[in-house]
Amino acid sequence: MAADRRTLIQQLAVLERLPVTTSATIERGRLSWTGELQPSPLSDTYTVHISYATGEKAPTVTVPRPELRAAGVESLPHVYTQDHLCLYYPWQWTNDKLITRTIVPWASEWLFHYEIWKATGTWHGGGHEPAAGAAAA
Amino acid sequence: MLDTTSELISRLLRDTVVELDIPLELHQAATREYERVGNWLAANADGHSGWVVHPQGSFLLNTVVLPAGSDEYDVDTVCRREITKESTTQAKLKHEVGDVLSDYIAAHRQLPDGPKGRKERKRCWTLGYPHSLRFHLDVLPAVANTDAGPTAILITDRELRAWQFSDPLAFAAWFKRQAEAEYVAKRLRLAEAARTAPEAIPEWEIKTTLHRVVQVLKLHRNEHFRDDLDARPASILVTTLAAHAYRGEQDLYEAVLDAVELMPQYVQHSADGPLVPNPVEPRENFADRWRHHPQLATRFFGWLEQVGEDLRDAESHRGLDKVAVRLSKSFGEHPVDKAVGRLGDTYRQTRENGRLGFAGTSGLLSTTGAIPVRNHDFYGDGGRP
Repeated sequence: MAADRRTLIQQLAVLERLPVTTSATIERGRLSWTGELQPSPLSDTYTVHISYATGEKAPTVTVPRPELRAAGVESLPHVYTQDHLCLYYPWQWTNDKLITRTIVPWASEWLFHYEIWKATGTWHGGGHEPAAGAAAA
Repeated sequence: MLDTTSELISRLLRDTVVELDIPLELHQAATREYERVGNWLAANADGHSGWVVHPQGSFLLNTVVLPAGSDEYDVDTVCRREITKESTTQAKLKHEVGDVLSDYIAAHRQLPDGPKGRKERKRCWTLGYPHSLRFHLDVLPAVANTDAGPTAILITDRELRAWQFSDPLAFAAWFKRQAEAEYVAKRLRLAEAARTAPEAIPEWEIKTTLHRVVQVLKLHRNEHFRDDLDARPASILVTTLAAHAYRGEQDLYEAVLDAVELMPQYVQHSADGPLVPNPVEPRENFADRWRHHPQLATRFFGWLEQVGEDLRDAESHRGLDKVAVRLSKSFGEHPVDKAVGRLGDTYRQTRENGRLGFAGTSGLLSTTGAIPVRNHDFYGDGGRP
């Protein structure tokens, strides 16, 4: 039996208590969260934004700062169009799951592997290996 | 896990030197080879006795790093003749050893892993092997020093004048004692993991923090003096001073910083000039060259300061990619790249094993993070705007 869907209010209540949160609101049926993540002691600190409205399949995750494509980075690994982070296979996140315990840690992990990818040119975080030239999901 | 900048830098430094350390199979092949040389010499050389070949230097100390700009490891050995120095001369000894090595080559040349030739160097003979073996054997002719300890030797000097005192086996034992507690504990841990007795763990499999300190210093030295080999401090000098300076630190980054700070204190100053005595054979001075070339001492101390500056600077960067760029400048791009990739693999495996946590206070990922990171797979195709 499928678990109960979490409401936006429930998601917000838990996100608000997360210390890395800098803002968390619901406006016109859309949950909007911003937080500061530093994935490792030697990592940069990133501003991460999550946006989610009831009825949407999954939250969208973006990194407003610092610029992910700065300094010669042309194409990013594991992103959708508009550089939304691709953090999981479509069936790995369902609306009964708390964003705090899934999307937020996964975003931090994405950022960790992003820095390693920038250093080595290879994605060491695992996951789906897209075919060359595949269309964005 | 890796909760501080120091722990993370230490991990990157360790994996950087691991990348250039001698691989297991190469270590075994080199060991088999010097043993074969020793056995053959003992059975076939003139007199049929009194020929012993044993390892020395970094191969014996377990502090090997791949030489800069090479893909072949140096394996240093001693060919010790059980004769007195009065019964030979330096030139005679060197030629006798050279001659028997020629015979050895002739007897083994046809084997796929056999030696292909020999070259004469200032102090030693170098045996070359098929490129695929990735090592060469340096054989240093020596006679037993009957006036000193059981492993003491006399070696030919560069100008073939006075015999030089040395004792590589006793030095290796001294070096091991400088990190004895960690050595014993590590051996026990490895034995427990392998469900065997500590004695069954080969010595060279045990790397203490001191081993890694020496490897980090040697690698930095190789890069720093890459275009100025004449000024490059000898490994034995670096190793001796680092071992003196080692205080039992467990964190590699801290240990290297402490070492470069303290190493100059162990350079003594005598009326004849600077002195870094071999701790097991005080008649051997590892800082001998500084007496005639004082500028080399200045370069050495300048290099030690540079190591400290480079490491502190790397640690001050934020962004693993930026840290990697900084470390690459000091240690070379290839090994640092591998170390950073290995760090990524470690985090991925930790999450796959369900042990990665997330700290809600910072976003930090580690095994101590309060929120377990559920397993998942990164998706997407490298999107274009």
